[in-house]
Formats: sequence, structure tokens, C-alpha cells
Amino acid sequence: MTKGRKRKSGSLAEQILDPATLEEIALWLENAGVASIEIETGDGRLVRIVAGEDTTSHGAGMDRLVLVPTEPASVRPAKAPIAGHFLPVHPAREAAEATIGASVLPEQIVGFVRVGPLIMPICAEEAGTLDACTVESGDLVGYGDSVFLIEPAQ
Amino acid sequence: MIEVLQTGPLNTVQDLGRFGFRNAGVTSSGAMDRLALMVGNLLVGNDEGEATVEVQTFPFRLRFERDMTVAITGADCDARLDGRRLPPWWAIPVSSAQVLELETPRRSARAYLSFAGGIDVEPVMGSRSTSLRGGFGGLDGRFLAANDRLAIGSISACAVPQGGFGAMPPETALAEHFPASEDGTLVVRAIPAGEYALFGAEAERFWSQTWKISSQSDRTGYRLSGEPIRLASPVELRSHGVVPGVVQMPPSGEPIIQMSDANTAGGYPKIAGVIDVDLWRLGQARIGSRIRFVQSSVAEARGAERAVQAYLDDIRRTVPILTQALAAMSRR
Repeated sequence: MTKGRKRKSGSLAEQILDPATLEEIALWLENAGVASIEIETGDGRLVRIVAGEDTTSHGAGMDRLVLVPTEPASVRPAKAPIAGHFLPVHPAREAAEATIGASVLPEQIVGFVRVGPLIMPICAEEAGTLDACTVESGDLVGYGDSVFLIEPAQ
Repeated sequence: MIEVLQTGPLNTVQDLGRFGFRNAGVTSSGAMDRLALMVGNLLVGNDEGEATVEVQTFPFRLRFERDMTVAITGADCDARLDGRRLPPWWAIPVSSAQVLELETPRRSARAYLSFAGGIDVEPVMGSRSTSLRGGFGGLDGRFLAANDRLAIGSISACAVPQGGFGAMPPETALAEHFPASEDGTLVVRAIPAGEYALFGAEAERFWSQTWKISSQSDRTGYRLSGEPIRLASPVELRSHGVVPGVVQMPPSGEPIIQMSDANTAGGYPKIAGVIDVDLWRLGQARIGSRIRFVQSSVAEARGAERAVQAYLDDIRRTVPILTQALAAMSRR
């Protein structure tokens, strides 16, 4: 939101879904030459807004925006720490550090990202159950991309 | 400082070795897996040849007496830092009083512990390597024992990220430059040596059969067991210089491969020489495992050496780029 502008009531997600706000975001995206943005709300929910492909329409508007459904608020992602190629299993090992369905602890390594000759860990942020892996072995992942989903421990 | 809490025998301080004194009967010593030593050092920001701990008997436990950075390379020994599992080929910042534990590896033989700043023991003849036979170098010329403490050098900036990071293992990164194992048999490249012709048709079986690394094998040399290979007629040779990698054929007909603590001279006929770039793989071969020799050439050996050098250069170049990128992102 632009500084100084009066805040609307309701959750951040509701504010973003407001047509006037969407129009404004679309303009920002266009002016910045950006294809999409991801907004993380206070409750950990992610809202991703992708500019539509129809760039010939006049002005910015709702028709050019797509709201991408995101993970339910209860599931937390384990994110890529850097851009690189996803390695589900360490190349010197036969088994993954944690398998889908297993319990994980905070800071536990659940996968790896290969950056040239080096390897960075993908770590769980909190305790929970490793729910799913959302990318394929060898896929290129970006900084902050969600690679695993973790169901937090109650 | 680090304190050794638990160790088996024969774990020593090693660097890349002591060269230039063979004429005085001084063995070169140095790590059995030089590549693992170099990768570990590069991960913690050291020059590639700093002194490390070579661990070949397990379990091994040590306690850090100050905050520092450590790398564990070579054999995957299911390392644990205060009970937390670490991947192999890994570097990580550690805190004072934390305990690192290495278990017996299921594959491979030797692990290397590199510390940012290197192990600060007094160099002897230009090297910190332990010469067990000479009784000098390393920690008082002997292998490590529980309660030993080792000083660690200081290093200005080591920016290993908090959760650690690692290197692609050479087995993977360099797979196309080394012959693949065949049914668990390590394929080692060698070049026929000085007395090869004396073995005549017998020499063929040197290459064709699978040899077993006998229990009489250590850092000095590997004695192989298999179907003996004998000379057509016995020869007596004057003692001559010997280096790591030389494959000697004693009268028993079962070969001996000279390793890091190789004798400086010997009189057995030499049937072959293992190419230098394959010695690290032999250094990770376990007693009881099987190997087979395959004939190589100087050109092939040089090609593999260039590939290893490029792999090391890539790590050396990428470590600062990665750590700077991570530092920049963490400030956002």
C-alpha cells in the first residue's frame, strides 16, 4: 500500500483482492516489467499475483491478473536457500535425509540445492511432518521457492 | 583448540606430505585421500594443503574449545554434531563445547577433518604430516589418543553459512573421468613399470584377475591377495628409489602397492605404477575389498589430472561467490 493512504479494514488478503488495489498492483507490475509478485500475509498465507498474458488490452485491469491458489495456511514450505538445481538425495548417499511422511525437526536438512560444485541445504523451519515435495529431482529452483511442504506439529 | 574425546589407533595429523627428503630416507607421508583433504580445506576457506586429521579407525569424537568452522570430507561416517546428523562432504560453523562424532563408514575407509585456520602443529621439513615410522611431524610424531588437544590456527574471515554447506563429492562430480566400479570392484589405472617385461606372459594375469586387499595393508602399502604371478626366472635387483603408487612383485607373487608412507627404496621388481590421480580412490579402498588394474597411459593420466584440477578450481572460485550471495540475501 502506498504510504499515507488510508488503510482499508479487513485482512491483508481481502485488501489485495479489492479491485482498486488489484488495478494498482497491475500498474506497478507493468511499470516495473515484473511478471508476478508473491505476498506473504501475517498469518503465513501466501498470495501470488501473476500478470496475465494479454498485454495488448488498454490500461491495467482485473482481466490481466490471475490469482494463483496457494498452500492452505496450515502448511509451511521448506524453501530453497539459493537458486540452483534440486537434489532430493545427497549424491554420496543412497537415501534421502527425510522421507515424505516423516517427522522433521526445526533446522533439519530435508533436501539440497546444487550450485555448480557446491551444495546448499534445504531445511525445515519448524517441527512437523514432511507432507510433499513440490519439485522434481534436478529441477531449477529459485531463491525462496517452496520445495517441500511441511504440516506443522500441533 | 580441539580436544580428542575418543579415538581408535592410527588416526594422525596429515597434510599433502613432506617432499624433497626422500634421498635422506624420509617418506613423504601425507593424506591417503589427498583430494578429500583439499576439498575440506577449500570449503573452510583454507589453502588446499593445510593440515587435517585423517580418521581411519572409528568411532572418533572430538570437542571444540572455541567457535570455529569444520569440514568433514572423504568417507561418509554419519557425522553428528551434538547428535544432529550432518551430510558428508560438509562444512559447518561450530560453537565452543559442541561435540562432533564420527561412526564407522559403511563404504570407503578414511574421513578428513579440516578446520578453518588449519591444525597448528610445528612443521618438520616443510610439512605437518605425521611420520609414524620416523616418529616426527604431526602431534609429537605419533597417532592421536584420547585427551590430546590440537591448536587450530586463526583465520581472518570464514563465511560458512550457519546451516553449513557442502561440495559435490568427487565420485559424482568427476564420474566421467574415472573408471566406474564393476560389481563393487574398484578399477585402478596403472602403467607398466621398469621390470614389466621380465614377467612375460604372466603379466597378463596382473590385469585380468581381481585382487583382494589383504589385512596386511596400511598407510605404507597394500598387500594384495590372488593367484600369484611369478617371474620366468628369479632376478636380483639393486635397491632403488620407490614412490607411492609403485606396484612391487615380491617372490610370493602377490603384489604390493606402495601408499602414502611408502618405503623410500626397495629391491622387488616393479610390475606397474598406479597413476597418481587414482591414488586417492585406492586410499579409500577398504581392507577385504577387491580391485582390478586396467592399463592406462600418460595422456589419460594427465587428462584426469586436469579434470581434478578444474574441479578444485571450481570449488575455490565458487565458495566466496556463494557465501557473498548468501550474506547479501540474509541482509534483505
